[in-house]
Amino acid sequence: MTANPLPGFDAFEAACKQRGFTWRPFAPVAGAGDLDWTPLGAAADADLAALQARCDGGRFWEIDLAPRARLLEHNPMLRRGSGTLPIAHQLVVFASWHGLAWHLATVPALADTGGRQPVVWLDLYDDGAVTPIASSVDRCFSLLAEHVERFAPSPGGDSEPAFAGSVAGSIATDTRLLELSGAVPMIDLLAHGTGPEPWFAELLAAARR
Amino acid sequence: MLKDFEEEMGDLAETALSTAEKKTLRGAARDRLAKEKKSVAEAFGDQPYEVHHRVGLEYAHRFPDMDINDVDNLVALDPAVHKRVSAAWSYFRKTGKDNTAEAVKKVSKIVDDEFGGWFDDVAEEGIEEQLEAAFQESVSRIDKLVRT
Repeated sequence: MTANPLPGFDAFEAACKQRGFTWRPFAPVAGAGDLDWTPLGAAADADLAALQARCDGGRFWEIDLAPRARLLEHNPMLRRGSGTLPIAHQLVVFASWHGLAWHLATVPALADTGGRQPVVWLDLYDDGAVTPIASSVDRCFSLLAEHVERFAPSPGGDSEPAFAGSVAGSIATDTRLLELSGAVPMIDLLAHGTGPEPWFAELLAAARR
Repeated sequence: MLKDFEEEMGDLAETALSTAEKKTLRGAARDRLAKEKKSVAEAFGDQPYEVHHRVGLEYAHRFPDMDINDVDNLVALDPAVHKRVSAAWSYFRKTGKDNTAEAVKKVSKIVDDEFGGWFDDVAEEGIEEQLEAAFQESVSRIDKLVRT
């Protein structure tokens, strides 16, 4: 199996290393690249499967990329018991902001023909508000690379415009993402909780004018 | 710059925080907790945790004299614990009785009582039933509180 190129992830790595930020991949495990999401009731995302062939999760800048075991444990936890979000079954959380209840999740139902799934920002502090940010996982890493290059402060430095509003200009060029924002189930996701972050609502309104 | 921002927050004491303001404060809270409570990093290691405000940011404007990001107001929670704690607060918000600082403080106390054993520590496997029981007890006590 030929590994998918991941130019966005490569750019993120270069940006983090250039800034001296954490870049700590965990060693890949046997069978990596054959990520099985059957227990999650979905087909695996193609970019994440390619990424698993390189590393089984890790800490990258402020992002905790879930190891395979964590991915298969965390998502079922989000889907059962009290406090379960009604939208949890439509998402697969694959990464989190270190120390915070901010997550990156794919939407398996909206995969393209190559198996790439769009990515949303899931804010569990805000009753599970969802903001679409990229049409694929690798594109999401491109956005993180841009954010790190342009806005991320050195440790202890000044505050920053927050991701992903900081890179809204690039998100506005992701035509597939904007198209998907008018599709079911993204419409349901956008209606959940307090709704998407204001910058995305503005971006979407501008795109539809 | 962050200090300026936090001072500005003080000036906005009568206004609920915006989404962007809350994001900035959450990041700062995470950094402060890591810096001032070293035991958190030791306890969790590579295990995930989520910073939680015992008095939430959505109520910061009701406590103008309080540093909402004071380390005493911050705890690190296992995501499975945080999910139930958030659900308890969400239940309280939906009662519509969360409009006074006194009620918010009482609910913060209820959450401390029911979930405090899991604050700043990794939750052991197989605690789902205990978490559910803690959530149900929290809801029961919130019901009693809002009826009084």
